[in-house]
Amino acid sequence: LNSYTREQAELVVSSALDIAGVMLESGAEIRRVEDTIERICKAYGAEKVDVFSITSLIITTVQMPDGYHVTQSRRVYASGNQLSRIEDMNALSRRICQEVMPPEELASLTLAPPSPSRKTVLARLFGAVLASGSFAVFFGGNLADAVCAAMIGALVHLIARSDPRGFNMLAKTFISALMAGALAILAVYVGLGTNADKIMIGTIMLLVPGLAFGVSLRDMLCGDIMAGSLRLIQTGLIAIVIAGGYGLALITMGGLLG
Amino acid sequence: MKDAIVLCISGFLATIGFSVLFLTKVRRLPFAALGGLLACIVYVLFDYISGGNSFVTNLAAGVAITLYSEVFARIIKAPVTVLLLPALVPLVPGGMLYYAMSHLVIWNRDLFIYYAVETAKTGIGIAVGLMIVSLSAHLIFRGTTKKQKKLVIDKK
Repeated sequence: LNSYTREQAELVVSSALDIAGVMLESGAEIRRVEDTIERICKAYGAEKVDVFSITSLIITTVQMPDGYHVTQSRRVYASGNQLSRIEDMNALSRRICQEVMPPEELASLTLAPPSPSRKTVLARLFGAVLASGSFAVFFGGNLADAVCAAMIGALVHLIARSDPRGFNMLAKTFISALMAGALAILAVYVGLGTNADKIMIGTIMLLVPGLAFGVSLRDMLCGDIMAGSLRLIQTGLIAIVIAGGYGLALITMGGLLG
Repeated sequence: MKDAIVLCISGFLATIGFSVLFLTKVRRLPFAALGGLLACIVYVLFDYISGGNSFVTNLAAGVAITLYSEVFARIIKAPVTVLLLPALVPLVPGGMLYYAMSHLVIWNRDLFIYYAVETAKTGIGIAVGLMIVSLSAHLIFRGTTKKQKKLVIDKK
């Protein structure tokens, strides 16, 4: 166990950070991310593991039995909700802790996941359509409203999925909200839907960071006040931007509703 | 009554939609959707009992779904988040946020304040419900998780 070279120790830490980075990207709680790194490094005989993580950065220093330290950090950009990836990474880290394969093998295991298949892309689109349509009915709309919300929801989803790094996230949310509001008003004006407000609420639900709010609470409950409050501020900002987008649509086009 | 059934069914479908959108594993999907249905049922029930008090209603729904996720996550051996987040979906106050915003735009001060406060009450209600159960679960299950951790390390 003590016979790992420095390079091998670097590999272990780097692999642990890869796994934790994917978890963070997929919307896992900070506690889970930090625990994962600690467990993997301890499984490889690390004496002391110090991890600090917020939603966009992970820093780890590991002290190996020979007395030397390995420090690495990982910047995390995109963040969304992909529950299956959290679970996959969880299972992978458990497997690693049990098998403790050689570091070189470990590094090849944790390569970046394959880009999403056509099937997942379609499934997610279907999910967005079903969610926004159902929510239009949930908040009191009729079937015509649901159909309109579903179609606009598909568009909102496609905008949200388009290139997460190239474009400012808040700007993208604002444009989505503005477009969804304008289209809902147009749909009612043309006669496709009956209640513009229900259609808009159906699509708002796709944009509202309700789940990020839930995760930020879980973070703070676990004692990760920093990460939790950062996430909370983020959700507040997004909510304001959403209100701004729909509000602008209502101000400029609300006259069409009569 | 008819409204309540429509609410529960649409909430259930919306939860499925969101679970698919968040790429929940197919074998977890029934449990995630069931959590959303539970949230809707408790919501409707307590909305009736408390006479429309949104804080109490969301507190009760928050307690119910967190309890459900903490227990079922251990039964089906999945991370708690995988069940909790989809179940949270029907409780998100998107409607209230919208009405708060629209009354801000047409400047109806009283209604704007009413809906803004309702949105905040909903958020705080869910948060408190989640906290009560999560913290108790931490205390109750702390012993068991520590034992598991130690076992893994001992093996090495």
